[in-house]
Amino acid sequence: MAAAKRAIPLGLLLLCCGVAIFWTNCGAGDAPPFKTDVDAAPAEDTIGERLFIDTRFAQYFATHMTGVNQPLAVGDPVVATVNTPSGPLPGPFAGQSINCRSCHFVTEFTGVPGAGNRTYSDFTTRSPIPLPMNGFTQTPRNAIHMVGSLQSHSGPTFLHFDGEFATPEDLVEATLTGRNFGWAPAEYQQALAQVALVIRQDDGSSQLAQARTNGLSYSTLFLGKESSIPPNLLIPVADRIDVQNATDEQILDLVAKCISTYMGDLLFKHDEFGRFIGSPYDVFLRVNRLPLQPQAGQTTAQYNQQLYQIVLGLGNPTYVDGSYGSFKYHAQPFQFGPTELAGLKIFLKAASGATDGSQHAGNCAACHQAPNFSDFLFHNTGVSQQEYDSVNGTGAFANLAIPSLPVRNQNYDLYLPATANHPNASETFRRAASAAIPGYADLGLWNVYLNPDMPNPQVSLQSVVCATGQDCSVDQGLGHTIAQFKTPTLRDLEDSEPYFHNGSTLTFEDVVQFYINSSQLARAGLLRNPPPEFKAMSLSQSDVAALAAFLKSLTEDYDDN
Amino acid sequence: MVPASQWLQQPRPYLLFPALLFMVLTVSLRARAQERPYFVTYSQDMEEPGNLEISLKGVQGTPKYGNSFLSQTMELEYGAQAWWTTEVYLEGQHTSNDSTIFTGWRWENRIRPLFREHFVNPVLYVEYENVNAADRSLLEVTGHDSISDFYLSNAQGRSKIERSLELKLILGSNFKGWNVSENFIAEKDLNESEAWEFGYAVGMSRPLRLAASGKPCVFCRQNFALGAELYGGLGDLNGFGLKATSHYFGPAVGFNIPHGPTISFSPNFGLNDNSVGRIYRFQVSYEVQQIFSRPRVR
Repeated sequence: MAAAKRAIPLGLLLLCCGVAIFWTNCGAGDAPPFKTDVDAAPAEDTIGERLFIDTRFAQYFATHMTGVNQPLAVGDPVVATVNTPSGPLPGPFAGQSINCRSCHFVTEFTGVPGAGNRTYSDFTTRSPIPLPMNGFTQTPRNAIHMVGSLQSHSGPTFLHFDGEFATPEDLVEATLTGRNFGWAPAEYQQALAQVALVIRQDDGSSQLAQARTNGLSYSTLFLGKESSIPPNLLIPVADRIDVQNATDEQILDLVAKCISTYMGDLLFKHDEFGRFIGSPYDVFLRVNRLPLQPQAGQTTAQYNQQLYQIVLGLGNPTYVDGSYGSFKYHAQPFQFGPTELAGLKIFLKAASGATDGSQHAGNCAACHQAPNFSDFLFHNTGVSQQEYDSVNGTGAFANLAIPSLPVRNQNYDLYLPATANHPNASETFRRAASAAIPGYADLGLWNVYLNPDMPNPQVSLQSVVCATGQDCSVDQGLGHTIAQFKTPTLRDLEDSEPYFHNGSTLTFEDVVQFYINSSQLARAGLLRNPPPEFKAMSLSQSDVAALAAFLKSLTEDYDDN
Repeated sequence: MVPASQWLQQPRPYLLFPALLFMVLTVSLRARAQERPYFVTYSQDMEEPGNLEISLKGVQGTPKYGNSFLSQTMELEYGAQAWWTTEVYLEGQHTSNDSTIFTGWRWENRIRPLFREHFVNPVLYVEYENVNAADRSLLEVTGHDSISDFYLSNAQGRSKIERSLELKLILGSNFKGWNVSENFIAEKDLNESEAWEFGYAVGMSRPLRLAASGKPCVFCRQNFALGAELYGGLGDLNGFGLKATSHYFGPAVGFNIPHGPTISFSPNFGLNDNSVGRIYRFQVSYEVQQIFSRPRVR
């Protein structure tokens, strides 16, 4: 009897515990944090970083060196300073020659007023190139931020704003042997020989080699046989080559592979399962137990629609403030509050039959699809038209004569970019607009699509240009590619301004204002080759602050670690 | 109309559980079981020496914003000694819009240090787990397990295999037909330098009737047991407590079919926002007596 008397209170106690946990929502004030991914970098990643920073592949080094392992007596002036919105700053590679990092900075300017961390981009609208070439003193476009550019996603990979490259290896090889490194289109063989020479003769004595690869030479690392090579620098057996016997092309291929591996690891902060965790926006999703990425069987577009419905129905969300984190490299508070949430709703909302800007619908997620905030495809948002019209007068871009596919390809030198096959091509439509030469414009993807000198991305390009629903009956859809550029990710956007392919915009507010204006132009029928996504964009001045706050909430402390 | 040959070739993961059930039913003719209706909580009861209990456990749930899942676990429990019970688990799951996968295995051992019945009877539990992060069996909740774990796709989950050591202190008491059991759980991931994680499970149960009926019957009250379970995480060494943890509560019912299997069912309710709102557990178990000393049937 006594035992039974003990049992009943115990049972009641169990029930009460359950009720108490439910009633108080015990333990649910915080959602559990996710564990940061700490996977070890493969050897090619570390070696790739060294190659990425190595300054000896440039034409300037080739023509001024006294020996592969000897420093230059006088550095290339192009890297002496770095242009920032606050003026020129001393270049981190002053006294040397150009390298990949010269346009894709990370922590070189940490804490420097007017500069700061970068997500592998530079600070200027267009990056300077070592030698004036074919009328160019700068790159045709703003250096796109590299972090996240190789993020895994459905669909094909395109690199550069105009999709010129289908693989990172193609991009690396073209860059090391191209204009950005001072090599003219006709100098491919010299550039190739320089890469091979550096790799063969490097003795590992440089400070860079000491810091990144234990002072081991490239030839030792690429051969992968010496016992002094630590495991984290051992290249997989299948990739190893003896550079003394390998051809120049084989050496360039391995260099490209290493740098590509390095590029592939440039990702925004994520957990062990690839879920983003670095920005206040990511924390907001986590603490409210919202899905951070598409579920299995769900397309990215469906995920974005679901996310919109979820945030619309959030009754009492947990907002993110300084108690959830802080920024190490940014002065702003770490927050995702009501304004940011309002911005997220505008960002995700698609207007129905928009005839004006009153619906608070950005339809931004049609292209900047969460969680990557990019669809990795091409769209014409009107940036080229704005640039052209600002120089040549309103409506000028609409009247710009753009040749048909047969005319363009029969007159390669007149219209298309310079290549090894066409070293004297004028690149008329891959240039910044110029009042002096009204024919200059940047048509983006139009330069690459169906370009016979750029065969590698064509199959993938055809699949997206002529995707279901697209009319490709005329010129295989070439007209749709006019002024289209690849959608950049919006993650940590603060660390890659100025924005757009021409760097024409400095602030988030200006970016949103641009979209208000451009979508208005589209509705009025004044935007050439308008994107269908603008039909569901309906923005006004009242949306600017919220959208800018939301974009700011995607900021994170990217520092390459 | 799908041709029979094609129909047979198509994968039908939802048939796995009934198929296994049928298989076990047909091979365990002399099955007998007297199970408490617990799904997560362990009582002080040990398997009788020489007996083998075969259980099939299922968990069905639909996380808010996520894909619904059906987890299946096969449990083989053998009474090695009166004081030592050893078990092997094989686990898998099917997630809608995703796939059906094997998620791992566990080997557990329970040791009862005190033979005589006491008011509180302790049992020590040691388990080695080799399961991936797609596991949905919810055999225990520890650390900061939460609903976010259920948003991972099978491809993501299977990429991370967790090899961990799990220790439990099981305390059980019987009086007047009631059983009250409390489990304190400590788990350590052996792969990574992660902190020990903790959890708990508490259960109580009682048959509807203690005295047996005078004549054989199937649906007599003494063949049914009712109970309830409460379980959840208790954080880890870096932050012990209820903060950022998930918890579940649910009633349970068990039906001991005379000379047959035991069937149990329990709806569990998530008690906070970190929990899956509702999950359904079901189990069929059979006890094969003296499996290694049975006469060979011709």
